[in-house]
Amino acid sequence: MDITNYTTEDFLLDSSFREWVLRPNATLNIKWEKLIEENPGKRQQVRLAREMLLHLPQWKHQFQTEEKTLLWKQIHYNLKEEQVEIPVVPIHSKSTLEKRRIRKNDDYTWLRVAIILIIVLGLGYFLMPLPGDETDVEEPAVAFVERVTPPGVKAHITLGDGSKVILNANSKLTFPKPFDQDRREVFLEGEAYFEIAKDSMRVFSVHSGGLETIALGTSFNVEAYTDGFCNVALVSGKVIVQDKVANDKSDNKGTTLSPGEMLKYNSRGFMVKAFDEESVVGWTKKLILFEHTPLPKAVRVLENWYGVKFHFVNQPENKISFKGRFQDETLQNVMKGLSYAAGFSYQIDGDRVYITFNNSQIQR
Amino acid sequence: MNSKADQTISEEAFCTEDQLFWQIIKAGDPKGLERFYEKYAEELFSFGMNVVSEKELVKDCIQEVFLELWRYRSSLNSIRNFRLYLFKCLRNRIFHESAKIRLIKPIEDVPVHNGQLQVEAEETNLIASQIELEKQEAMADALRKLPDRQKEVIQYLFFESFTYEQTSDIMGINVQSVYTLAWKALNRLKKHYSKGVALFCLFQFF
Repeated sequence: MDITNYTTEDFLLDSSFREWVLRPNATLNIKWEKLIEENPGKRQQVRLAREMLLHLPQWKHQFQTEEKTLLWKQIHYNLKEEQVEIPVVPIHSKSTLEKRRIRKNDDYTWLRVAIILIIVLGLGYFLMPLPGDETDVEEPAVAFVERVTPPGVKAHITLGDGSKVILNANSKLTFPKPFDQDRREVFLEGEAYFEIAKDSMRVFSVHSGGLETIALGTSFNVEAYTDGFCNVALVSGKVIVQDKVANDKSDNKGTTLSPGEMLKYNSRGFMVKAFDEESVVGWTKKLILFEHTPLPKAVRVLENWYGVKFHFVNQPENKISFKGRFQDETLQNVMKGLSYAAGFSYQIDGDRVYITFNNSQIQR
Repeated sequence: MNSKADQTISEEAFCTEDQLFWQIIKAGDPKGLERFYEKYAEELFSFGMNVVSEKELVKDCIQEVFLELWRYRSSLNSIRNFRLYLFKCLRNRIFHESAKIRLIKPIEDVPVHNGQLQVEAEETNLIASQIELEKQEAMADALRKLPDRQKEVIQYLFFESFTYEQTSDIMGINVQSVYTLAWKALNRLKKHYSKGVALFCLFQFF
């Protein structure tokens, strides 16, 4: 090896030189010491190159573990939904980039529609019955589309009629594509917020946990995570809620809700009461609101929201309910806020959260 | 050259693991993709943030890179070096996306002292003296003042430890151009650095 013509730049460009400076070992030491000894005139250049190399900054950007985990969840979710054109909204991220993505998806939608049309027309050409058989043409079979969100992920869905649905985490929405000629029907497990496109000819109905909610053009929230329980909250417009079982037995006309009213339903019956809009539909705006929320419900909300699982090291001695308001917060911050107020300590370990209640302190 | 031999061996070693993940992906199991993500997400994020300091865009692009790897799992034949492949995909996607929204920000717009951008010294235990910090700052400053392409080539060669061949592959230029670009960058760095340090020493003197 010859370094007689080496400049400072050449030393820096030599990977063996860089290794010697940054990760020296015996072999490299012998090699470079010998080279420099043979070329004493190069000492100046070597010194400068070495100094520059050692003072080169490392530009590191920390990828927060929580963010990393959430991004993977989103990728994983999109793997399964690859063929369907819905934008997925992660709970944390600002929606700045969503618009772009939605537009992009729209482009693809047209492409898809075009491809499907070509295929259908092409198939139609070959499969078209001979003239005379036309009376036999069957209606196209209705396909059901199923959208499932895992914990930690929400989805914005636009239905064929232009109605918009925000599907909360850990929920499932099933609907026919396309809708029938005379009605629009969807099936919900979990929670969703609906903004129904006006269509005076076709009612829109949501089937969930034994209830049917019928609407024309309104916005409302349906929550039916547990079997046999269902809450329907009306934000604007008008809906009729029917108990499906009772409806079959008698000529039950159902209950009509006015804006600001919520129907709470369980196996024993139902009640209608006023509700606070923010606490019911806040989830669509990245807001977690606890208003005297009992422990089991708060746990369910947080598990779904962040895609984690809670483990209780011990049980609280008294019944606990939570109060708190968290706008677009990390799990860490939410837990910090709650733990002070409710007297427990917590430990977040990946997707597991361990809770220990400070029972002795409450007694004192 | 001894170091080169070392490098090839370690490269092959980590490639075997990647090939295993790839086989899992090819078999249609997302677990393989998850392993790739686990292994490279942090590196890719940091690299992406150095290219364009727009977090949501970087995350978006990382997502697309992994989705694409999944999407084309059956048509992509053999990838020899996955780390290289992922960096290349991410770079191209970021350039593509930022061109669309004309958002690309040169690194000089980023304030250095905002905590995100850490300047780490290699000999932290040895120094902490004012002179060392000044030198470090002089180097960071010189680096910030480089034109985008020169900064990029330094990033691959010095920060991400890619070889000249790999850098040429990522940037889509031939090896000789990489070498020339890197030489120009180092030449500029040298001038800025010497000037910065000289200036500082002058201040010390008074």
